[in-house]
Amino acid sequence: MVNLDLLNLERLREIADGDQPFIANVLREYRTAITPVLASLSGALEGSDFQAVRHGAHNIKGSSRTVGAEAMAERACRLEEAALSQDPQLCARRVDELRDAWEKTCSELDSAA
Amino acid sequence: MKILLVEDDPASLLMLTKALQRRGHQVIGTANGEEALRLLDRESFQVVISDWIMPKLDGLQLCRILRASEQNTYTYYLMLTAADQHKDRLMALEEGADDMMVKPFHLSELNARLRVAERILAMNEEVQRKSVEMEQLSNVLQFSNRRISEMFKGLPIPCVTISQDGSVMEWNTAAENLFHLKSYEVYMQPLWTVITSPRYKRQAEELTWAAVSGEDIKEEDWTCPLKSGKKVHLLVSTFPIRNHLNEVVGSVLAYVDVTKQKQLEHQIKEQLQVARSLSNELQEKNTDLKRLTDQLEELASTDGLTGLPNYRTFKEKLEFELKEVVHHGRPLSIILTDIDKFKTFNDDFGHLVGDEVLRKVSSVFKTLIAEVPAGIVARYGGEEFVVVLPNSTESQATEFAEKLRLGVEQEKWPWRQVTSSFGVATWDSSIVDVKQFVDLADKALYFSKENGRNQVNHFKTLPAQAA
Repeated sequence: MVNLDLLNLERLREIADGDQPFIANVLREYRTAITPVLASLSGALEGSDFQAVRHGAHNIKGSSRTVGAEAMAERACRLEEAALSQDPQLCARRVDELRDAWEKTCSELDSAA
Repeated sequence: MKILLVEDDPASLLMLTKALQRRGHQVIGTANGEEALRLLDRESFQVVISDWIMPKLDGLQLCRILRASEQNTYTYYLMLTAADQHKDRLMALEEGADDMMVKPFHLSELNARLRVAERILAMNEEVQRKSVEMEQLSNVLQFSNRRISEMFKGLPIPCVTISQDGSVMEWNTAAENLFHLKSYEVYMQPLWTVITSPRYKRQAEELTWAAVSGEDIKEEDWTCPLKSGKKVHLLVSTFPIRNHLNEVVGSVLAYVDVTKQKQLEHQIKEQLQVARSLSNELQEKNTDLKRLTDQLEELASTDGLTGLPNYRTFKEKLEFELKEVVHHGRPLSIILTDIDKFKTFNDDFGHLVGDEVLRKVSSVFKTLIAEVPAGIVARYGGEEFVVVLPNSTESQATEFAEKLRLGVEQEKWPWRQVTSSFGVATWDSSIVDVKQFVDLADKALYFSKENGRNQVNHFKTLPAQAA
């Protein structure tokens, strides 16, 4: 696995142009948005709803890329590909990896805030 | 620019809004496609930046609906997505998206792509403006064309326009009436084949080619036998039609129907000829009449036997000369003469000899009177003659009478000597009228007869008892 930054805020800072509350707000919104999507993945996987898994993974990938949560984006991307293959075991492994990344990212988010 | 931002991811929505506002754009954000549609329905946006995958109505469907509803406006559609497959990009562009940007977006790239959007929208606006201008211009041209077309159609002179190959393009109502052909019957037909019968098409064809070669023909006289068989006299004028490069691309032909005028001219010519021949005939008749009148006058004024003026002529002459006497105070004399013993010629030699004597005496008198200006000798009746001598005094008249007497006496007479007696009178203020004037001469003649014949006597010289 490529060693990616958990949280690369370079682009967010460029956009914020020194607006710290804005950065905090974006990261809060990110966290709020990812949590339920991540939670829904297990249910979808249990029901073999690979379309829902893929959709959820895609959302996480897009949102993570935008804020600079590169590890999250990379793992969400792998899950999206796994959902396409409709392999339940592979998908389950990718979901675990994603949760693992999320925990680490949340620690980073806490630090950033 | 006014931008509608459609993004279901709150973090992305916040960051994009911030990025766009920092560039001075007016941004309205929404988290789903359905709300975006409502906003687009209410107000206009120059640019839509939309996420692709969204719940309910995704970015692709939104783009499709927007494009379908657009009429005179254009909204630039930038699709922003995490989908970075080649086929995804193609699909978005096929559905009407103008551009694609893969997440995560970079500020510089976003700004660059929006500048492209600005350029395209500005061009689109210019195209729209030009389109409106073109439409207005087109309307003006259409109106102008319609007006010219109506004017052409309504011209009272038969007019035709032809293309460069001589085909009929326009054919006005007056032409329809002249050639008895509707415009749809002649449209795109070679002109010379429609206006005259094939037998006479040569001149029509020559005229057509002259017209399309750019010749400016003015009122060329043309007798045109129509297909119906009717013959019309036309004055044909042509005017070249030129394009913007001044090249001749066709011609207008105008026909003035002068058939009626030509018929009138012909009638007038015929009538003039009739009048001329009548005039000649009349002139001839007048000449004949004059000759007859002259002959009649001569007969009326001449004595048939001697050819001398008769008594009537003498009277007219005397009356005329008397007026001259009164007006101008000129002298006037008359001589009365009688052939001596004429009766015995008839008795002794017959009437034919008597007539011959009269003719010979007349001939002598005619010769002598020719020397007297304005003088005449007339037969007075029987064997009597009378001489009028204008401008002659008593002595001049007496002298002339003597010449006459001698003329008769000295003439060669085959039967026996012929003599004549003479009485002369000259006008003076004591005489009251013609009758008295003649009576005076007669008295002098009578005295000459009584006094031995073959002599001349003037009334003034008569003895008192004789006067």
